[in-house]
Amino acid sequence: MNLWGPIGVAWFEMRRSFTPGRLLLWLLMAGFPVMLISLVRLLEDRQPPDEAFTLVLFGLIVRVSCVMGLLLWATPVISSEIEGRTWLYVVSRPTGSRSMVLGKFLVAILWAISAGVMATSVAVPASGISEPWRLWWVLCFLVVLGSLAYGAMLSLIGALVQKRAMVVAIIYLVFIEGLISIIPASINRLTVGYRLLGLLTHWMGLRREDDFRLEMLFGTAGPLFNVTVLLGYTGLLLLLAIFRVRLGGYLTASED
Amino acid sequence: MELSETGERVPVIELCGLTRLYGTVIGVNDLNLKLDPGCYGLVGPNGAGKTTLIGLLTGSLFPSRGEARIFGANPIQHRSLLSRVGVCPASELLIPRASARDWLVELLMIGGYSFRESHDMAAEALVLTGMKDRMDSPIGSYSLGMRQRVKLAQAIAHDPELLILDEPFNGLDPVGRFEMTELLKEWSSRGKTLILASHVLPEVEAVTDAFILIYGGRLLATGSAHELRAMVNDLPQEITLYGPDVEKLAGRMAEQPWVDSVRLSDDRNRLRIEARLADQLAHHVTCWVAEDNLRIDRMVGADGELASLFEVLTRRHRGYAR
Repeated sequence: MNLWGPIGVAWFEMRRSFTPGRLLLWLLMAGFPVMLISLVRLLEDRQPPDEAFTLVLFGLIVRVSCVMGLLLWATPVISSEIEGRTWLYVVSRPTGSRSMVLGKFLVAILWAISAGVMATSVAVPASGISEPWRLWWVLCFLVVLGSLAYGAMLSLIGALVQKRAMVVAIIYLVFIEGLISIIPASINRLTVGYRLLGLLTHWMGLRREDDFRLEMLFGTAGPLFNVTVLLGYTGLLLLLAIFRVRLGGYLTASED
Repeated sequence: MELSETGERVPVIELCGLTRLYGTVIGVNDLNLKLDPGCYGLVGPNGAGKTTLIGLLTGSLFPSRGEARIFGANPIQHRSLLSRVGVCPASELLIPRASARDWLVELLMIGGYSFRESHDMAAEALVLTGMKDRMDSPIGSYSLGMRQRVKLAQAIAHDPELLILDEPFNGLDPVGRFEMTELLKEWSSRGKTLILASHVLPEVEAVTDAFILIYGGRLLATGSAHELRAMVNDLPQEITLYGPDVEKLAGRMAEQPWVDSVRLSDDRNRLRIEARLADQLAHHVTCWVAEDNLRIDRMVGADGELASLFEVLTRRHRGYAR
Protein backbone atom coordinates (compact mmCIF):
# COMPACT_ATOMS: atom_id res chain seq x y z
CA MET A 1 0.00 0.00 0.00
CA ASN A 2 1.58 3.23 -1.18
CA LEU A 3 0.68 5.94 1.34
CA TRP A 4 3.09 8.44 -0.18
CA GLY A 5 0.97 8.69 -3.34
CA PRO A 6 -2.12 10.40 -1.86
CA ILE A 7 0.14 12.50 0.37
CA GLY A 8 2.16 13.60 -2.64
CA VAL A 9 -0.97 14.54 -4.59
CA ALA A 10 -2.40 16.40 -1.58
CA TRP A 11 0.91 18.22 -1.00
CA PHE A 12 1.14 19.27 -4.64
CA GLU A 13 -2.50 20.34 -4.83
CA MET A 14 -2.26 22.34 -1.60
CA ARG A 15 0.88 24.12 -2.79
CA ARG A 16 -0.63 25.19 -6.04
CA SER A 17 -4.06 25.98 -4.61
CA PHE A 18 -2.92 28.94 -2.52
CA THR A 19 -3.95 31.48 -5.12
CA PRO A 20 -5.78 34.78 -4.55
CA GLY A 21 -8.83 33.38 -6.32
CA ARG A 22 -9.00 30.25 -4.20
CA LEU A 23 -8.43 32.21 -0.96
CA LEU A 24 -11.17 34.66 -1.92
CA LEU A 25 -13.52 31.78 -2.54
CA TRP A 26 -12.63 30.26 0.81
CA LEU A 27 -13.35 33.61 2.51
CA LEU A 28 -16.69 33.76 0.70
CA MET A 29 -17.60 30.26 1.87
CA ALA A 30 -16.59 31.04 5.43
CA GLY A 31 -18.05 34.54 5.48
CA PHE A 32 -21.37 33.91 3.77
CA PRO A 33 -23.14 32.29 6.81
CA VAL A 34 -21.69 34.93 9.13
CA MET A 35 -23.02 37.73 6.95
CA LEU A 36 -26.51 36.25 6.80
CA ILE A 37 -26.67 35.61 10.54
CA SER A 38 -25.42 39.11 11.29
CA LEU A 39 -27.99 40.51 8.87
CA VAL A 40 -30.83 38.59 10.56
CA ARG A 41 -29.81 39.85 13.98
CA LEU A 42 -29.51 43.37 12.67
CA LEU A 43 -32.91 43.42 11.01
CA GLU A 44 -34.90 41.39 13.57
CA ASP A 45 -36.02 43.26 16.68
CA ARG A 46 -36.48 40.08 18.68
CA GLN A 47 -33.89 37.32 19.08
CA PRO A 48 -35.19 34.34 17.04
CA PRO A 49 -35.64 31.09 19.00
CA ASP A 50 -32.53 28.93 19.48
CA GLU A 51 -34.07 26.05 17.52
CA ALA A 52 -34.58 28.24 14.47
CA PHE A 53 -31.06 29.63 14.62
CA THR A 54 -29.62 26.16 15.08
CA LEU A 55 -31.35 24.86 11.97
CA VAL A 56 -30.45 27.97 9.96
CA LEU A 57 -26.80 27.73 10.96
CA PHE A 58 -26.74 24.02 10.17
CA GLY A 59 -28.28 24.68 6.75
CA LEU A 60 -26.01 27.60 5.91
CA ILE A 61 -22.74 26.12 7.11
CA VAL A 62 -23.01 22.37 6.54
CA ARG A 63 -25.53 22.14 3.70
CA VAL A 64 -24.56 25.24 1.74
CA SER A 65 -21.12 26.58 2.57
CA CYS A 66 -19.26 23.25 2.83
CA VAL A 67 -21.15 21.68 -0.04
CA MET A 68 -20.43 24.65 -2.31
CA GLY A 69 -16.73 24.37 -1.51
CA LEU A 70 -16.73 20.63 -2.13
CA LEU A 71 -18.62 21.13 -5.36
CA LEU A 72 -15.81 23.34 -6.61
CA TRP A 73 -12.90 21.36 -5.17
CA ALA A 74 -13.90 17.69 -5.17
CA THR A 75 -15.94 17.38 -8.35
CA PRO A 76 -13.19 18.16 -10.91
CA VAL A 77 -11.08 15.25 -9.68
CA ILE A 78 -10.53 13.87 -13.18
CA SER A 79 -11.55 16.71 -15.48
CA SER A 80 -8.91 19.06 -14.06
CA GLU A 81 -6.18 16.48 -14.71
CA ILE A 82 -7.38 15.91 -18.26
CA GLU A 83 -7.65 19.64 -18.90
CA GLY A 84 -4.15 20.15 -17.46
CA ARG A 85 -2.91 17.30 -19.70
CA THR A 86 -1.37 15.59 -16.67
CA TRP A 87 -3.70 12.59 -16.64
CA LEU A 88 -1.46 10.35 -18.75
CA TYR A 89 1.48 11.01 -16.44
CA VAL A 90 -0.59 9.95 -13.46
CA VAL A 91 -2.15 6.77 -14.83
CA SER A 92 1.15 5.47 -16.13
CA ARG A 93 2.26 5.01 -12.53
CA PRO A 94 1.41 1.96 -10.44
CA THR A 95 -0.97 3.61 -7.94
CA GLY A 96 -1.60 6.77 -9.93
CA SER A 97 -5.37 6.69 -10.19
CA ARG A 98 -5.91 5.73 -6.54
CA SER A 99 -3.47 8.37 -5.33
CA MET A 100 -5.14 11.01 -7.45
CA VAL A 101 -8.65 10.30 -6.12
CA LEU A 102 -7.58 10.10 -2.47
CA GLY A 103 -5.15 13.03 -2.65
CA LYS A 104 -7.64 15.36 -4.27
CA PHE A 105 -10.38 14.24 -1.90
CA LEU A 106 -8.09 15.05 1.02
CA VAL A 107 -7.41 18.55 -0.27
CA ALA A 108 -11.09 19.20 -1.02
CA ILE A 109 -12.24 18.22 2.46
CA LEU A 110 -9.42 20.19 4.10
CA TRP A 111 -10.54 23.35 2.30
CA ALA A 112 -14.22 22.67 3.03
CA ILE A 113 -13.69 21.72 6.68
CA SER A 114 -11.48 24.74 7.35
CA ALA A 115 -14.10 27.06 5.78
CA GLY A 116 -16.88 25.33 7.73
CA VAL A 117 -15.07 25.47 11.07
CA MET A 118 -14.15 29.11 10.51
CA ALA A 119 -17.77 29.96 9.62
CA THR A 120 -19.01 28.08 12.71
CA SER A 121 -16.47 29.77 14.98
CA VAL A 122 -17.61 33.24 13.95
CA ALA A 123 -21.31 32.67 13.20
CA VAL A 124 -22.22 30.78 16.37
CA PRO A 125 -21.04 33.55 18.76
CA ALA A 126 -22.59 36.13 16.42
CA SER A 127 -25.95 34.35 16.61
CA GLY A 128 -26.39 35.06 20.32
CA ILE A 129 -27.65 31.53 20.93
CA SER A 130 -27.93 30.38 24.54
CA GLU A 131 -25.61 27.34 24.32
CA PRO A 132 -22.90 28.45 21.90
CA TRP A 133 -20.26 25.89 22.89
CA ARG A 134 -22.62 22.98 22.44
CA LEU A 135 -23.74 24.21 19.04
CA TRP A 136 -20.13 24.94 18.07
CA TRP A 137 -18.85 21.42 18.63
CA VAL A 138 -21.96 19.83 17.12
CA LEU A 139 -21.69 21.94 13.97
CA CYS A 140 -17.92 21.37 13.73
CA PHE A 141 -18.47 17.63 13.98
CA LEU A 142 -21.20 17.79 11.35
CA VAL A 143 -18.94 19.89 9.12
CA VAL A 144 -16.35 17.12 9.27
CA LEU A 145 -18.83 14.29 8.69
CA GLY A 146 -20.71 16.19 6.00
CA SER A 147 -17.51 17.12 4.18
CA LEU A 148 -16.38 13.50 4.19
CA ALA A 149 -19.64 12.11 2.85
CA TYR A 150 -20.46 14.89 0.39
CA GLY A 151 -16.81 15.04 -0.72
CA ALA A 152 -16.80 11.31 -1.46
CA MET A 153 -20.09 11.56 -3.35
CA LEU A 154 -18.88 14.49 -5.45
CA SER A 155 -15.56 12.72 -6.12
CA LEU A 156 -17.53 9.73 -7.38
CA ILE A 157 -19.60 11.97 -9.65
CA GLY A 158 -16.36 13.55 -10.91
CA ALA A 159 -14.97 10.08 -11.62
CA LEU A 160 -18.15 8.87 -13.32
CA VAL A 161 -18.81 11.89 -15.49
CA GLN A 162 -15.85 13.29 -17.38
CA LYS A 163 -17.64 16.18 -19.07
CA ARG A 164 -20.16 18.39 -17.27
CA ALA A 165 -19.45 16.71 -13.92
CA MET A 166 -20.29 19.98 -12.21
CA VAL A 167 -23.75 20.07 -13.80
CA VAL A 168 -24.49 16.50 -12.74
CA ALA A 169 -23.21 17.29 -9.24
CA ILE A 170 -25.50 20.32 -8.97
CA ILE A 171 -28.45 18.25 -10.14
CA TYR A 172 -27.60 15.64 -7.50
CA LEU A 173 -27.29 18.25 -4.76
CA VAL A 174 -30.50 20.06 -5.66
CA PHE A 175 -32.75 17.10 -6.36
CA ILE A 176 -31.39 14.33 -4.16
CA GLU A 177 -29.85 16.16 -1.23
CA GLY A 178 -32.09 19.22 -1.49
CA LEU A 179 -35.51 17.81 -2.26
CA ILE A 180 -35.54 14.09 -1.55
CA SER A 181 -33.82 14.48 1.82
CA ILE A 182 -36.77 16.54 3.09
CA ILE A 183 -39.46 14.29 1.66
CA PRO A 184 -41.03 12.46 4.58
CA ALA A 185 -40.66 9.01 3.06
CA SER A 186 -38.27 6.10 3.36
CA ILE A 187 -36.26 7.21 0.34
CA ASN A 188 -34.85 10.16 2.22
CA ARG A 189 -32.91 7.76 4.46
CA LEU A 190 -30.50 7.23 1.59
CA THR A 191 -29.37 10.83 1.62
CA VAL A 192 -26.47 12.34 3.53
CA GLY A 193 -28.65 15.25 4.65
CA TYR A 194 -31.06 12.92 6.47
CA ARG A 195 -28.24 11.44 8.57
CA LEU A 196 -26.73 14.83 9.33
CA LEU A 197 -30.10 16.24 10.40
CA GLY A 198 -30.62 13.18 12.58
CA LEU A 199 -27.34 13.84 14.34
CA LEU A 200 -28.07 17.55 14.76
CA THR A 201 -31.49 17.01 16.26
CA HIS A 202 -30.14 14.34 18.59
CA TRP A 203 -27.13 16.24 19.87
CA MET A 204 -28.95 19.56 20.13
CA GLY A 205 -32.01 18.00 21.78
CA LEU A 206 -34.41 19.15 19.08
CA ARG A 207 -36.38 15.92 18.85
CA ARG A 208 -40.03 15.72 19.75
CA GLU A 209 -40.81 12.14 20.67
CA ASP A 210 -44.51 12.59 19.90
CA ASP A 211 -44.14 14.22 16.48
CA PHE A 212 -44.28 11.50 13.84
CA ARG A 213 -43.98 13.96 10.91
CA LEU A 214 -40.70 15.38 12.14
CA GLU A 215 -39.43 11.88 12.83
CA MET A 216 -39.82 11.15 9.13
CA LEU A 217 -37.33 13.92 8.38
CA PHE A 218 -34.49 12.69 10.55
CA GLY A 219 -35.49 9.28 11.88
CA THR A 220 -35.07 7.74 15.30
CA ALA A 221 -31.64 6.18 14.79
CA GLY A 222 -29.01 6.88 17.40
CA PRO A 223 -25.94 8.99 16.70
CA LEU A 224 -23.59 6.00 16.54
CA PHE A 225 -25.66 4.45 13.78
CA ASN A 226 -25.82 7.67 11.79
CA VAL A 227 -22.09 8.33 12.17
CA THR A 228 -21.34 4.76 11.07
CA VAL A 229 -23.60 5.12 8.04
CA LEU A 230 -21.92 8.40 7.03
CA LEU A 231 -18.42 6.97 7.42
CA GLY A 232 -19.56 3.87 5.55
CA TYR A 233 -20.91 6.06 2.75
CA THR A 234 -17.58 7.84 2.56
CA GLY A 235 -15.57 4.65 2.31
CA LEU A 236 -17.91 2.99 -0.16
CA LEU A 237 -18.21 6.02 -2.43
CA LEU A 238 -14.44 6.54 -2.47
CA LEU A 239 -13.90 2.88 -3.31
CA LEU A 240 -16.35 3.17 -6.18
CA ALA A 241 -14.61 6.33 -7.40
CA ILE A 242 -11.21 4.61 -7.31
CA PHE A 243 -12.64 1.59 -9.10
CA ARG A 244 -14.15 3.79 -11.80
CA VAL A 245 -10.95 5.78 -12.28
CA ARG A 246 -8.95 2.58 -12.41
CA LEU A 247 -11.13 1.39 -15.30
CA GLY A 248 -9.98 4.44 -17.27
CA GLY A 249 -11.35 5.07 -20.72
CA TYR A 250 -11.43 8.84 -20.32
CA LEU A 251 -11.03 10.78 -23.51
CA THR A 252 -7.80 12.70 -23.75
CA ALA A 253 -6.76 15.00 -26.56
CA SER A 254 -3.59 13.17 -27.52
CA GLU A 255 -4.79 9.75 -28.61
CA ASP A 256 -3.90 9.11 -32.22
CA MET B 1 17.63 -9.70 -19.29
CA GLU B 2 14.86 -11.62 -17.60
CA LEU B 3 14.28 -15.34 -18.00
CA SER B 4 10.96 -17.11 -17.69
CA GLU B 5 10.37 -20.11 -15.42
CA THR B 6 11.29 -22.37 -18.32
CA GLY B 7 14.57 -20.51 -18.83
CA GLU B 8 13.44 -18.69 -21.95
CA ARG B 9 14.32 -15.10 -22.51
CA VAL B 10 11.43 -12.79 -21.62
CA PRO B 11 10.92 -9.99 -24.15
CA VAL B 12 10.75 -6.48 -22.73
CA ILE B 13 7.65 -5.87 -24.84
CA GLU B 14 5.34 -8.45 -26.34
CA LEU B 15 2.22 -7.70 -28.34
CA CYS B 16 -0.18 -10.52 -29.09
CA GLY B 17 -2.94 -9.61 -31.54
CA LEU B 18 -3.21 -6.24 -29.86
CA THR B 19 -6.21 -4.28 -31.08
CA ARG B 20 -7.79 -1.12 -29.81
CA LEU B 21 -10.95 0.36 -31.30
CA TYR B 22 -12.52 3.73 -30.55
CA GLY B 23 -16.08 2.89 -31.50
CA THR B 24 -15.75 2.10 -35.19
CA VAL B 25 -12.39 3.85 -35.52
CA ILE B 26 -9.29 1.68 -35.41
CA GLY B 27 -6.59 2.83 -33.03
CA VAL B 28 -4.27 -0.13 -33.52
CA ASN B 29 -5.13 -3.35 -35.29
CA ASP B 30 -3.82 -6.85 -34.62
CA LEU B 31 -0.28 -5.94 -33.61
CA ASN B 32 2.10 -8.84 -33.01
CA LEU B 33 5.63 -8.08 -31.91
CA LYS B 34 8.41 -9.13 -29.52
CA LEU B 35 11.14 -6.71 -28.50
CA ASP B 36 14.32 -7.54 -26.63
CA PRO B 37 16.21 -4.85 -24.69
CA GLY B 38 17.45 -2.14 -27.00
CA CYS B 39 16.67 1.19 -28.54
CA TYR B 40 13.79 1.34 -31.03
CA GLY B 41 12.24 4.06 -33.11
CA LEU B 42 8.47 3.80 -33.30
CA VAL B 43 7.87 5.63 -36.54
CA GLY B 44 4.65 6.56 -38.26
CA PRO B 45 2.79 9.60 -39.50
CA ASN B 46 0.40 11.51 -37.26
CA GLY B 47 -2.64 9.36 -36.54
CA ALA B 48 -0.77 6.12 -37.19
CA GLY B 49 -1.55 4.74 -33.73
CA LYS B 50 1.70 5.47 -31.90
CA THR B 51 0.08 7.17 -28.93
CA THR B 52 -2.59 4.50 -28.70
CA LEU B 53 0.09 1.82 -28.64
CA ILE B 54 1.92 3.68 -25.88
CA GLY B 55 -1.32 3.97 -23.91
CA LEU B 56 -1.84 0.22 -24.24
CA LEU B 57 1.73 -0.53 -23.19
CA THR B 58 1.40 1.60 -20.08
CA GLY B 59 -1.98 0.23 -19.08
CA SER B 60 -3.73 3.58 -19.43
CA LEU B 61 -5.81 2.15 -22.29
CA PHE B 62 -7.51 -1.23 -22.31
CA PRO B 63 -7.20 -3.32 -25.48
CA SER B 64 -10.36 -4.23 -27.37
CA ARG B 65 -8.72 -7.55 -28.28
CA GLY B 66 -5.36 -9.18 -27.69
CA GLU B 67 -2.81 -8.34 -25.06
CA ALA B 68 0.22 -6.16 -24.43
CA ARG B 69 2.91 -7.48 -22.11
CA ILE B 70 5.86 -5.68 -20.61
CA PHE B 71 8.55 -7.65 -18.79
CA GLY B 72 6.48 -10.76 -19.37
CA ALA B 73 3.23 -9.64 -17.76
CA ASN B 74 0.13 -7.63 -18.54
CA PRO B 75 0.50 -4.08 -17.15
CA ILE B 76 -3.24 -3.80 -16.57
CA GLN B 77 -3.25 -6.79 -14.24
CA HIS B 78 0.20 -6.12 -12.77
CA ARG B 79 0.28 -2.40 -12.15
CA SER B 80 3.50 -2.64 -10.14
CA LEU B 81 5.33 -3.27 -13.42
CA LEU B 82 4.79 0.37 -14.26
CA SER B 83 7.37 1.33 -11.64
CA ARG B 84 9.94 -0.05 -14.11
CA VAL B 85 8.63 2.11 -16.93
CA GLY B 86 9.14 5.80 -17.64
CA VAL B 87 6.66 7.47 -19.96
CA CYS B 88 6.82 10.86 -21.61
CA PRO B 89 3.50 11.51 -23.40
CA ALA B 90 3.31 13.90 -26.32
CA SER B 91 0.63 16.10 -24.78
CA GLU B 92 1.55 19.59 -23.70
CA LEU B 93 1.64 20.44 -19.99
CA LEU B 94 -1.01 22.94 -18.88
CA ILE B 95 -0.19 23.43 -15.20
CA PRO B 96 1.26 26.94 -15.38
CA ARG B 97 1.41 27.77 -11.67
CA ALA B 98 3.25 24.67 -10.48
CA SER B 99 7.03 24.44 -10.54
CA ALA B 100 8.82 21.62 -12.32
CA ARG B 101 10.35 20.35 -9.10
CA ASP B 102 6.99 20.25 -7.27
CA TRP B 103 5.37 18.39 -10.14
CA LEU B 104 8.14 15.81 -10.28
CA VAL B 105 8.00 15.36 -6.50
CA GLU B 106 4.27 14.65 -6.78
CA LEU B 107 4.77 12.09 -9.55
CA LEU B 108 7.63 10.38 -7.71
CA MET B 109 5.57 10.16 -4.52
CA ILE B 110 2.75 8.62 -6.57
CA GLY B 111 5.41 6.12 -7.63
CA GLY B 112 5.92 5.20 -3.97
CA TYR B 113 8.99 7.23 -3.03
CA SER B 114 9.13 9.19 0.23
CA PHE B 115 9.00 12.95 0.25
CA ARG B 116 12.73 13.33 0.84
CA GLU B 117 13.69 10.72 -1.75
CA SER B 118 11.35 12.34 -4.26
CA HIS B 119 12.90 15.77 -3.69
CA ASP B 120 16.41 14.46 -4.31
CA MET B 121 15.46 12.36 -7.33
CA ALA B 122 13.45 15.21 -8.89
CA ALA B 123 16.35 17.63 -8.53
CA GLU B 124 18.79 15.09 -9.97
CA ALA B 125 16.62 14.42 -13.03
CA LEU B 126 16.04 18.12 -13.65
CA VAL B 127 19.77 18.83 -13.44
CA LEU B 128 20.39 15.99 -15.91
CA THR B 129 17.96 17.50 -18.40
CA GLY B 130 19.45 20.97 -18.10
CA MET B 131 16.80 22.53 -15.87
CA LYS B 132 19.02 23.19 -12.87
CA ASP B 133 18.51 26.96 -12.77
CA ARG B 134 14.78 27.02 -13.49
CA MET B 135 13.44 23.99 -11.63
CA ASP B 136 11.65 26.12 -9.02
CA SER B 137 10.11 28.58 -11.47
CA PRO B 138 6.47 28.16 -12.53
CA ILE B 139 6.04 25.89 -15.56
CA GLY B 140 3.99 28.66 -17.18
CA SER B 141 7.17 30.72 -17.53
CA TYR B 142 9.03 27.99 -19.45
CA SER B 143 9.65 27.85 -23.17
CA LEU B 144 8.30 24.88 -25.13
CA GLY B 145 11.74 23.32 -25.15
CA MET B 146 12.05 23.65 -21.38
CA ARG B 147 8.69 21.99 -20.90
CA GLN B 148 9.90 19.11 -23.08
CA ARG B 149 12.92 18.74 -20.81
CA VAL B 150 10.68 18.70 -17.76
CA LYS B 151 8.55 15.99 -19.35
CA LEU B 152 11.66 13.96 -20.05
CA ALA B 153 12.89 14.53 -16.50
CA GLN B 154 9.72 13.07 -15.00
CA ALA B 155 10.12 10.01 -17.21
CA ILE B 156 13.72 9.26 -16.21
CA ALA B 157 13.63 10.47 -12.60
CA HIS B 158 13.02 6.99 -11.17
CA ASP B 159 15.65 5.41 -13.44
CA PRO B 160 13.27 3.10 -15.32
CA GLU B 161 14.31 0.03 -17.28
CA LEU B 162 11.95 0.85 -20.13
CA LEU B 163 11.66 4.43 -21.31
CA ILE B 164 8.85 5.35 -23.72
CA LEU B 165 9.00 8.79 -25.27
CA ASP B 166 6.25 10.15 -27.49
CA GLU B 167 7.50 12.91 -29.81
CA PRO B 168 10.22 14.11 -27.39
CA PHE B 169 11.80 16.46 -29.93
CA ASN B 170 8.68 18.60 -30.35
CA GLY B 171 9.46 22.25 -29.77
CA LEU B 172 13.19 21.81 -29.27
CA ASP B 173 15.59 24.15 -31.05
CA PRO B 174 18.60 22.63 -32.89
CA VAL B 175 20.79 22.81 -29.81
CA GLY B 176 18.05 21.26 -27.73
CA ARG B 177 17.59 18.48 -30.29
CA PHE B 178 21.27 17.73 -30.24
CA GLU B 179 21.35 17.65 -26.44
CA MET B 180 18.26 15.46 -26.33
CA THR B 181 19.78 13.08 -28.89
CA GLU B 182 22.99 12.80 -26.89
CA LEU B 183 21.06 12.24 -23.69
CA LEU B 184 18.98 9.47 -25.24
CA LYS B 185 22.03 7.80 -26.79
CA GLU B 186 23.79 7.86 -23.45
CA TRP B 187 20.69 6.53 -21.73
CA SER B 188 20.22 3.63 -24.14
CA SER B 189 23.93 2.79 -24.04
CA ARG B 190 23.39 1.68 -20.45
CA GLY B 191 21.62 -1.44 -21.69
CA LYS B 192 18.12 -0.18 -21.05
CA THR B 193 15.23 -0.19 -23.44
CA LEU B 194 14.09 2.94 -25.21
CA ILE B 195 11.02 3.32 -27.40
CA LEU B 196 11.20 6.60 -29.24
CA ALA B 197 7.96 7.48 -31.03
CA SER B 198 8.16 10.13 -33.69
CA HIS B 199 6.79 11.07 -37.08
CA VAL B 200 10.11 12.67 -38.07
CA LEU B 201 12.51 10.02 -39.35
CA PRO B 202 15.83 11.89 -39.10
CA GLU B 203 15.21 12.52 -35.39
CA VAL B 204 14.83 8.80 -34.79
CA GLU B 205 17.72 7.85 -37.06
CA ALA B 206 20.00 10.08 -35.02
CA VAL B 207 19.33 7.95 -31.94
CA THR B 208 18.78 4.41 -33.18
CA ASP B 209 19.05 2.09 -36.15
CA ALA B 210 16.16 -0.16 -35.16
CA PHE B 211 12.71 0.76 -36.32
CA ILE B 212 9.12 -0.21 -35.79
CA LEU B 213 7.08 1.23 -38.63
CA ILE B 214 3.40 1.74 -37.95
CA TYR B 215 0.70 3.09 -40.21
CA GLY B 216 -3.08 3.12 -39.97
CA GLY B 217 -2.87 1.17 -36.74
CA ARG B 218 -1.04 -1.69 -38.47
CA LEU B 219 2.55 -2.76 -38.07
CA LEU B 220 4.26 -2.19 -41.43
CA ALA B 221 7.70 -3.57 -40.63
CA THR B 222 10.35 -3.93 -37.95
CA GLY B 223 14.12 -4.17 -38.13
CA SER B 224 17.22 -2.14 -38.81
CA ALA B 225 17.39 0.29 -41.69
CA HIS B 226 19.50 -2.29 -43.56
CA GLU B 227 16.97 -5.06 -43.01
CA LEU B 228 14.14 -2.82 -44.07
CA ARG B 229 15.97 -1.87 -47.26
CA ALA B 230 16.48 -5.53 -48.07
CA MET B 231 12.83 -6.17 -47.37
CA VAL B 232 11.62 -3.58 -49.86
CA ASN B 233 14.33 -4.09 -52.47
CA ASP B 234 12.05 -6.02 -54.80
CA LEU B 235 9.18 -3.61 -54.32
CA PRO B 236 8.67 -0.73 -56.73
CA GLN B 237 10.53 2.32 -55.55
CA GLU B 238 10.60 5.75 -56.99
CA ILE B 239 13.57 7.95 -57.70
CA THR B 240 13.72 11.32 -59.35
CA LEU B 241 16.69 12.55 -61.34
CA TYR B 242 17.31 16.24 -61.98
CA GLY B 243 19.61 17.72 -64.62
CA PRO B 244 19.84 18.80 -68.27
CA ASP B 245 20.69 15.26 -69.52
CA VAL B 246 17.98 13.24 -67.82
CA GLU B 247 16.15 12.87 -71.14
CA LYS B 248 19.04 10.78 -72.48
CA LEU B 249 18.59 8.32 -69.62
CA ALA B 250 14.89 7.86 -70.25
CA GLY B 251 15.41 5.59 -73.28
CA ARG B 252 17.85 3.31 -71.48
CA MET B 253 15.55 3.08 -68.50
CA ALA B 254 12.54 2.09 -70.57
CA GLU B 255 14.42 -0.95 -71.90
CA GLN B 256 15.07 -2.45 -68.47
CA PRO B 257 12.72 -5.25 -67.35
CA TRP B 258 12.83 -4.12 -63.72
CA VAL B 259 11.62 -0.58 -64.53
CA ASP B 260 7.87 -0.17 -64.20
CA SER B 261 7.44 3.39 -65.42
CA VAL B 262 9.41 6.37 -66.66
CA ARG B 263 8.06 9.92 -66.65
CA LEU B 264 9.80 12.95 -68.07
CA SER B 265 8.70 16.42 -67.00
CA ASP B 266 7.55 19.00 -69.53
CA ASP B 267 10.71 21.04 -69.13
CA ARG B 268 12.70 17.81 -69.73
CA ASN B 269 14.77 18.53 -66.69
CA ARG B 270 13.25 15.99 -64.31
CA LEU B 271 12.92 12.23 -64.78
CA ARG B 272 10.80 10.17 -62.43
CA ILE B 273 11.44 6.41 -62.48
CA GLU B 274 9.52 3.67 -60.72
CA ALA B 275 11.45 0.44 -60.53
CA ARG B 276 11.92 -2.77 -58.59
CA LEU B 277 15.40 -3.85 -57.43
CA ALA B 278 16.38 -0.44 -56.16
CA ASP B 279 20.02 -1.43 -55.68
CA GLN B 280 20.34 -2.28 -59.39
CA LEU B 281 18.62 0.94 -60.33
CA ALA B 282 21.13 3.03 -58.41
CA HIS B 283 24.03 1.00 -59.79
CA HIS B 284 22.91 1.29 -63.42
CA VAL B 285 22.16 4.98 -63.20
CA THR B 286 25.66 5.61 -61.89
CA CYS B 287 27.24 3.51 -64.70
CA TRP B 288 25.24 5.14 -67.51
CA VAL B 289 25.96 8.60 -66.27
CA ALA B 290 29.69 7.81 -66.28
CA GLU B 291 29.68 5.98 -69.66
CA ASP B 292 27.75 8.66 -71.56
CA ASN B 293 29.28 11.52 -69.63
CA LEU B 294 25.85 12.86 -68.69
CA ARG B 295 25.19 15.80 -66.48
CA ILE B 296 22.84 14.81 -63.65
CA ASP B 297 22.59 17.37 -60.86
CA ARG B 298 20.65 15.50 -58.27
CA MET B 299 19.10 12.09 -57.52
CA VAL B 300 16.36 11.90 -54.89
CA GLY B 301 14.46 8.89 -53.64
CA ALA B 302 15.24 5.23 -53.42
CA ASP B 303 18.88 5.56 -52.62
CA GLY B 304 18.52 3.81 -49.33
CA GLU B 305 16.97 6.71 -47.48
CA LEU B 306 14.71 5.50 -44.73
CA ALA B 307 12.08 8.03 -45.78
CA SER B 308 11.66 6.33 -49.11
CA LEU B 309 11.57 2.90 -47.50
CA PHE B 310 8.78 4.11 -45.33
CA GLU B 311 6.98 5.54 -48.32
CA VAL B 312 7.24 2.23 -50.16
CA LEU B 313 5.99 0.25 -47.18
CA THR B 314 3.13 2.64 -46.76
CA ARG B 315 2.21 2.33 -50.41
CA ARG B 316 2.34 -1.44 -50.13
CA HIS B 317 0.10 -1.29 -47.09
CA ARG B 318 -2.37 0.85 -49.00
CA GLY B 319 -2.33 -1.67 -51.83
CA TYR B 320 -0.71 0.64 -54.38
CA ALA B 321 2.34 -1.55 -54.79
CA ARG B 322 2.74 -5.24 -55.31
